[in-house]
Amino acid sequence: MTEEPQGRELLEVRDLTVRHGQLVALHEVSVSVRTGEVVAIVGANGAGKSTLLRTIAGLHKPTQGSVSFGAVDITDYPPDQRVRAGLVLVPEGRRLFASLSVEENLLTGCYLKRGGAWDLARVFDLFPWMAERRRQPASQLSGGQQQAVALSRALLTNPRALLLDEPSLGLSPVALQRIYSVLPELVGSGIGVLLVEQDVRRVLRVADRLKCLLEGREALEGVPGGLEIEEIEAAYFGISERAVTSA
Amino acid sequence: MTYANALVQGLLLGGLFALFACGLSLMFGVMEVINLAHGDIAVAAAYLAVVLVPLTHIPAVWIFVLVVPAFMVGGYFGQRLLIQRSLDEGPVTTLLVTFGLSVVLENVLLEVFTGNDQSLNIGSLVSGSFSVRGVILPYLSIMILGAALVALAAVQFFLSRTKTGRMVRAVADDREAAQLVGADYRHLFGIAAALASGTVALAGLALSMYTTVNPNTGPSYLLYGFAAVVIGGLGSLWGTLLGGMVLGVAMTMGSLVDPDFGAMLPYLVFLAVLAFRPRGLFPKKAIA
Repeated sequence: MTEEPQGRELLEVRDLTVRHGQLVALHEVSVSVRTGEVVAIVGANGAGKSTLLRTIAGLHKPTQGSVSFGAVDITDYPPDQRVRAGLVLVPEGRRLFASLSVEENLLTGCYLKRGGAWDLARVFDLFPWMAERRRQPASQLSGGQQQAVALSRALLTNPRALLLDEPSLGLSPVALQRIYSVLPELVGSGIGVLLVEQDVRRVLRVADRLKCLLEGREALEGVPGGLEIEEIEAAYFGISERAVTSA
Repeated sequence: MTYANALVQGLLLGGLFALFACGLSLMFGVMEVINLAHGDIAVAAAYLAVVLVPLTHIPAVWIFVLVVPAFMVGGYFGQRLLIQRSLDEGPVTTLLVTFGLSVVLENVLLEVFTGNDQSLNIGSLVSGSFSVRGVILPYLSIMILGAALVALAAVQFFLSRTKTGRMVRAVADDREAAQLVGADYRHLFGIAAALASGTVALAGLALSMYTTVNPNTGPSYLLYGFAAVVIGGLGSLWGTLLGGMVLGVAMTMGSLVDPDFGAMLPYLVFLAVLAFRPRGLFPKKAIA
């Protein structure tokens, strides 16, 4: 393994295999995240990125492999128990509660009352516009605003690790910038982040470590500084044998 | 004056139908369960009251204090132990299971209590009334409408103002997303079932004060409940009250022409709404 940023082991995924019927969506994928670390998973559509995050969050059952969180084996935990432990997914497509107001959406994040640094006031500090639009239905917000609410809702559960599934999907560059500008603060507070993105260049700027998936298998692993963009792209599209994992 | 009277009686009757409809709407809105035993649960509540009143010496009017909480607890565990298991198998299984529950309830009541009509004796209250400018206002009908309004307002308050109620709405919107903020959706389904069971138990008590019930009464009120839900617009609590009132008025107005027409007109209105306003008169996307 390459040099790691300091931090304790937080999330440890070992040899995860997931099937959707006949299709093997993930094949023996392992990934780990430490406190205060951003680990990115890149790959094309259908590479298994979302399946990986959803399995870690407990929405899919793996046929093989294990997920440990804070040294506890949580492979058999239902999704809500994982949130209780501090492992929280911000799902692809935001998935806000359409009939709830912005504030009510945020308050669902406080349902479990896990104590911690995040409360409504801090969220409103981070995104001041939210306080003004708190009474509006969440469905009336723009895509970027919805993503901010989805992220805040997850933060209000006071997670120890965040799983972010394509937060940039459908966002304008400005909105995207705003979402990503929050990352350093999260990481600084010790939250571990497992980030899934399609945009490799974006990921290279924020990730401490990176893993590329190709058709459900690990194709490449490394630290952003140690990888050439061509090398990543080759693994991403499965162009050359050379790209198959050597890390 | 006859028409004014029929109109007012019909509106008052709306509360009773709304109590039948509220739980159906909740069960479908939150977990997409169509509970075919809904009417039988109301009848079972009436029978429990018939047993409890002489045992406890609680006046029939106040027996809901025992029966409604008992049915809320029963609703919660009925969902967790029976409906949830069928939900995990798929929507058709749920229909079959609730249909089976309906058959079982009816036959148990028939076996234990025979097919004789039963009613809750509330003394002189059953026939008491006062009149305003010639329009007769029976105390019992006003009481039932009042109970319905209080029950609907309580459910509304719970869903919109409490933490658990908010989460019930969240689960109805997007079950998976609710799990991702830590909701145990089975528990929240149980809460919704408790509300459904509690309100329909209240409906059963009101019905057995208003008229008589027997083990086979349930399905016809299930149908009225469905009609009120569809007319009012699925998922809207206050819509079901208005739907119930439309049904009630159709019934009393129709009876002016002919008693049989009074039984038929509500269904004609129901059909007309389905044909021309399939989403109901007061459509709403979400529950509450």
